[in-house]
Amino acid sequence: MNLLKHGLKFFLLLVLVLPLAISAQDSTITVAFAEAQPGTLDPAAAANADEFLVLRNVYEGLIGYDPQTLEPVPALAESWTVSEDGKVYTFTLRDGVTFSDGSTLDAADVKYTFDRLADRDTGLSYTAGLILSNVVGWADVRPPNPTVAEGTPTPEPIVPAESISGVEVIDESTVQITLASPASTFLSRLTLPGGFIIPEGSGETTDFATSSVGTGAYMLTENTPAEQVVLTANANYWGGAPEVQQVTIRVIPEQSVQLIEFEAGNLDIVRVPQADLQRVQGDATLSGQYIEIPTLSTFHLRVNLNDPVMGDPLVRRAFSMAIDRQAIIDSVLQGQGVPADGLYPPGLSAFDPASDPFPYDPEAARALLAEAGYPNGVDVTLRTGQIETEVRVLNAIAQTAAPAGFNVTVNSTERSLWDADRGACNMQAGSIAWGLDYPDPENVAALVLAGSSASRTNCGYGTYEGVDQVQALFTQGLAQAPGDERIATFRALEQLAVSELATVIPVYHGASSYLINPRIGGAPLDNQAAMRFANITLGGM
Amino acid sequence: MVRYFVGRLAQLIPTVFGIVTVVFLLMRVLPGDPALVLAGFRDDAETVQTLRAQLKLDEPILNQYVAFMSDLTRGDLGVSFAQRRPVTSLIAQTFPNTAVLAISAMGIAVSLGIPLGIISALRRNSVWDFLSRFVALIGVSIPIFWLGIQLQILFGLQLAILPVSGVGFDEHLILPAVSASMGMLALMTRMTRSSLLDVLKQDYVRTARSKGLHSRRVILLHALKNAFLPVLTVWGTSFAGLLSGTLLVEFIFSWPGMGRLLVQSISARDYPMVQGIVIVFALTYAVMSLIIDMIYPLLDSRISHG
Repeated sequence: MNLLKHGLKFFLLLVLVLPLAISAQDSTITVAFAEAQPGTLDPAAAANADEFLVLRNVYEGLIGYDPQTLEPVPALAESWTVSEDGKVYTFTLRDGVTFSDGSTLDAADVKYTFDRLADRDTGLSYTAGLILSNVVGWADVRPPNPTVAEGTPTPEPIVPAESISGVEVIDESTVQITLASPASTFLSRLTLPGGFIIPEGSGETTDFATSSVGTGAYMLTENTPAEQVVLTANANYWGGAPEVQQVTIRVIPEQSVQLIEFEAGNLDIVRVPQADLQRVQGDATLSGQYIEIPTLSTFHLRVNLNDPVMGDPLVRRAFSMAIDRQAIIDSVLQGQGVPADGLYPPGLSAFDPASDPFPYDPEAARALLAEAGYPNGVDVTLRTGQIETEVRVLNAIAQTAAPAGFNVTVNSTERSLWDADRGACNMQAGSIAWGLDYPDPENVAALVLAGSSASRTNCGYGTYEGVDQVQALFTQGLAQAPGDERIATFRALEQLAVSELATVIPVYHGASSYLINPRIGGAPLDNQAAMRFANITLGGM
Repeated sequence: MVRYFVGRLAQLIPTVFGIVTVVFLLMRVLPGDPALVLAGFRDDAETVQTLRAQLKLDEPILNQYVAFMSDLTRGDLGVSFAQRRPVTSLIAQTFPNTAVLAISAMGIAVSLGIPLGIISALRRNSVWDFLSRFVALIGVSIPIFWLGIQLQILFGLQLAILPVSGVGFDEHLILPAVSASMGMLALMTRMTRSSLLDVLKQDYVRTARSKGLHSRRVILLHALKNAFLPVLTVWGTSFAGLLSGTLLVEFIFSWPGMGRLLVQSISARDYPMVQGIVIVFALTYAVMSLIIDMIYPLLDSRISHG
């Protein structure tokens, strides 16, 4: 009898608990941080891809973006209206959304989030400026530091306003945001992590750098520096609890080790390092788990327009013509990516596949260079950081540009050093792998102007010949509503600033390769190659 | 003895003070701006300015130095720029990982290296000698990076009996510890061998032997004890070196240790973090050499700290 009882107990235990254990095991996935590890996890301060990876799964903004088309879609704002002059945005909040601390979302939370983002001391991310710099009241919360002329008394510092006046609570579920000038990019910008909503007052009680209170499909349940971040499914998520119950994001600094971990079955999604591409594509098993996603990015050379050599548009055009883009993509990038002749990557409506202003032509480049006064060729130093692919691309540029008379030296230094030198305009030209913050041509077009969100260093970008016309086109495009006219404006800007003046020298639009475990279904990666754990379905195997 | 000990401890204070000062200045002389790194490498002058103010980088260096030193005397190492957590807590988190890895590597190196060295010396020019010298040669010349990845592929991927990477004081420790031990293993083998060979030629060993003492007794009691002095010296300094030298191993095996943290902090220009780690390394080095000095008299009564 006793034996039977125990046997029954054991049997019940087996029947009840074992499937639970198995399903818990099965609904867990493990991935790795792309670069190294996140620093801060505060939406108002985060600034790199690893930080965004966590934040995008834990928080939400008023607006999200469609994983396929990348167009703005409702998130915490259920709907919105835009006034006729394009300046006033009225958002209606979704009903019944709760934060992970149990509180309910209302308009005061939105107001609090944007005030905290506007505050100079907490809104440390560059996304603060992207989202709010065109909102009424920005100049009051972030008054410019008064410039002091020598010999004059130091003026009283301006006391910043505590709240950004352009963000107003209309009622419990309505928020109105007023822009200083119409900008059709505003909704796209709201999708950035700086705009992720946190509960009113939580900044005083929560250390957002290391923990979180959000509305997203996942909750941050473990954050061990240098080791791993663990996310657990939010059962109360308004969009329905996600299928994957737990996500472990490991810190694996070595890319090649990430791949070994994937092959050993310990990682479910991994980015393929350039060096392993050929092997992975040729491997019978791995090639079936391989996908390639174009990244919205423009790898280009930024130039010091004040440099005596590179300041000459003729030299820059010659240089652009002396780059064999397709050869570089085929050899260095193993076919990943497409040649860039202009600013906009494919995937943006402003991308013009017909445009080809700089076909590889060393002879014509040499002639242009002679016209510019360098019949015997010229020395150019290209700067870059220490990312291996970038260094190899620059070396390949040096090779293909040699027949045109360019004697190129590639100077690869620690990134902080290269950034400091670029900031001080202590360079001739150097590489920038510009990944778009949001899918809008304006975000790339800003590269050819000084003082924009993309680049505030001048280095001649505010004063080159033709800049007024480029600036006028930029302002016009920014205000235009999406559509053909806006596309035409940004194409005209590209034609002038890049095809004619070569103020930046585009090289390629990149792509990233991933390996995905066959048991992962759904759409784990969106078209910006951002991981979205809530979109994963399991049971592929 | 106690006076000597206290004296040595007191010497640590100016040593650490000096090291910290040099590191403090070096970091600030290095080109590169921590605020720019934090701003996500955007040329967003306003954000960079705010960050500089928050990190107090806009103050004169002398003020920064005085503030840092006065915090240091209270045991406060500041807050990491990059991770926004107290430096002491990040060190408390990573130091045990590095220490366990280093101690395990040392354990492997000592428990294999010394016997190999003894066999090598006693069976000089035999197959055993040749083999152990070969192991030592491989140990010093093989790149840890290559070895680590080969071990991962063999034991983690193909045989699938050990974890590829990650931290844990269990089977996770085996591959990193073996990789990290190679250099020291080679050193231990070679030092033990040459030192023992040297001692075996000494008059007192010959005397002991001629007295008719058993060969094993001669080696264990007379020769080894003396042969260990130089081995001990090398062991002490290389253990301290091992602490900082586990860096590559920490990278390959995703081992969250201090070496990795140091390199990441240097490239992020995370001044407080770098200063904190250097202080810990300096202290460890000093304490290790103190311990070794304390052991000397036990092995050789001619050395005394009386």
